[in-house]
Amino acid sequence: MEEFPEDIGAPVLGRAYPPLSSREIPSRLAVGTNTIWLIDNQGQIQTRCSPQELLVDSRVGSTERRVSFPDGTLFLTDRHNALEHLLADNSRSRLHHAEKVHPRLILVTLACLVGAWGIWKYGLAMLVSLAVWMTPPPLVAAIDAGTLHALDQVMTKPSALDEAEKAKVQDNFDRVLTALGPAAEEHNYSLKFRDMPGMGPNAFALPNGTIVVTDDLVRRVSTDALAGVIGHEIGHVAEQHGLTQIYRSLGAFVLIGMIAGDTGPMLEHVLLEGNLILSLSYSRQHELAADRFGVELATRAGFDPRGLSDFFELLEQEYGDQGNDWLSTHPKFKDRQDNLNALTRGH
Amino acid sequence: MQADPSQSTPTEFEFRGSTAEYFGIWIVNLLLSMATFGIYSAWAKVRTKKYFYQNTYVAGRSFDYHATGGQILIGRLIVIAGVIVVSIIANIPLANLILLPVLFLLIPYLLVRALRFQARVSSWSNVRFDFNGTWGGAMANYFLFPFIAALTLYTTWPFVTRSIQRFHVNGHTFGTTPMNFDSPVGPFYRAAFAALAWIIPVLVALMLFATNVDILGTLNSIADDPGNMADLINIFLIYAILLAALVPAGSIYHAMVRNTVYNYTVLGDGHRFHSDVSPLRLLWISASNLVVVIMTLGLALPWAHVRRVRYLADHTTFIPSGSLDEFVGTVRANVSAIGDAYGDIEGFDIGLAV
Repeated sequence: MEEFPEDIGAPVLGRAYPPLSSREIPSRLAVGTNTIWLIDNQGQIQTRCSPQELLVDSRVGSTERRVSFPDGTLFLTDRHNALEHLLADNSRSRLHHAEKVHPRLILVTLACLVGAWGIWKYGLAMLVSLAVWMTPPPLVAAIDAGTLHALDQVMTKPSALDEAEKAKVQDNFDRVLTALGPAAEEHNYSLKFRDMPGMGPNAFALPNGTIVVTDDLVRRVSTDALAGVIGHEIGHVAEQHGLTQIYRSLGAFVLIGMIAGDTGPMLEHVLLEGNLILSLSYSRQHELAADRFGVELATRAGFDPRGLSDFFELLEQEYGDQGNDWLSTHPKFKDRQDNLNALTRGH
Repeated sequence: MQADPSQSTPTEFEFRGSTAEYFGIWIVNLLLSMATFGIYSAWAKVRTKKYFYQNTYVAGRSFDYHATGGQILIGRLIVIAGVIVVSIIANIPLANLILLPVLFLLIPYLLVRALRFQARVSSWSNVRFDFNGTWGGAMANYFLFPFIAALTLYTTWPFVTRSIQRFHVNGHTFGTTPMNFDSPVGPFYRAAFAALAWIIPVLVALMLFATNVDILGTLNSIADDPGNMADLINIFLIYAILLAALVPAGSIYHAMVRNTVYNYTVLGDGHRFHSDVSPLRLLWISASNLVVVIMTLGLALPWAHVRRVRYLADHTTFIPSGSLDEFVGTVRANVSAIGDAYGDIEGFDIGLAV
């Protein structure tokens, strides 16, 4: 039998488990210059290794410290100080010291509150811009082509407008687009005519720049209003609202899952549904932003800035404002008019 | 500290952690996670799991969690990349025709992987768990059986729950020792009736309230004040009542199912468990936790978590039938943490069911 030194200082008592076994053996750790021994109550050596081979887990709270031998033997001890003294190494409990209850934690807490607010306010927006910037353009083009194709299968009919009407709107569109200047090159802007029964006077934009106007819209609104609507849709594309919304809700989802971690059964509902309501609020903000963008663009192209506002008035008279503000993707027509009036007054 | 191995006296599960200690760990984790743009959150998860596992004792021996931050981070990066690609492609309508079936087949696979990962990085008394459930089993339990239950207007839902629990428990082994759960369906129906006993009165209250809403609504439209705010409050109240009907009923159902699962599970030759969680008490803990956490801007999360875990541990008992020194582990290859990371993002937690 080998010689192992008596403990210097307090003994590192604990319990050991042989490799792959649940058998519990009360033991202690002994350290020599080149060897570490695990010794049971009868003084028998259970296992040994060199100090470099010994794996000491990081300290977590006041849980028992895990010490693993290379053969798979596990040793557990709650004698943290004695262990660190014996191994002359306390580097594995640095994080533990930072976590201890101490006035310093108040600063950490404040930093977390500020950080959480900052991430919500700015960090998420930065991540989203980065993701939008990194999205490969062919993918965005595929979204446009795919969506239009699917709509043509189920919802739309070919436009019934005659060539003269189309040419007039196309000319309108080209003028508004020219007012956009060099930024017009950043997306693949194109105008499509479709008859969409039941959708009324309407238009929508796809993220790569495909802008669809309904026959109803072309027939029923003034040239100035049409320019405003086209400007509005160009605004959605130019400011990348579509991708931003996809990434924004995704980002919040991931952040909640990752950083907040396990929040308990009920809070999770509240957080995820709250996120949904918030994403609707972003959608409404985007509508207002696109309204302002559209009117400014149409004005620069030489159209009457009140066109879009008149269009909302028409819609309001015809359809009324229905539904609840908070649960809607679009703001009320009244709010949109107020938003635009504030803008045109500034001119 | 030491349990006499030959004795078979019941022994409580114990949680030995404290709120103050966990608060320190949690807040430092949070700060480091934010300072590293979320990268540290993988290590934070490991540290949190270790704290809870290592502080949970049965018969004087603790659990342990063995995943590493690196493993978790890689899993998360892969899953985030996947989620981004999927959510972009999902905007191409025709691509959905391919995407949805693929996801449909992928989800049971991820679930099984998550359970296996989770089991293999968990141990008690130096012996690791394992999970041998199959993709087919997950497919049947999570898609096929619920679909069939829907055809019976969910009157057979307790059978589905029992089957899912069998899939979970019977798929697990503790080292080389099998686990087995089987029970009559009666307790599952009792759990369902208890849940209904909560839902029905609350829904009746909701309907009474809804009639009032109409009156209020008309009153408001008379006043030329934009009825906005009142509408808003009403919609929130209806929503809150719906939540108050469904979420607590779910909590009651889960608590009763948990009791049944523990009470009918046998480990190896006859080690048994007992759980006597009170559904209403657990509901009270969850609901009051929610209120306190919101009022403290989330700072009370560690307190809420410890409170819940401690209650569950205090109401769980292990009834050994022989020596606890005889369990044998096996060496298992690592599984990737992809399923686990997917679980983190989707919010299903499949940790230690204590």
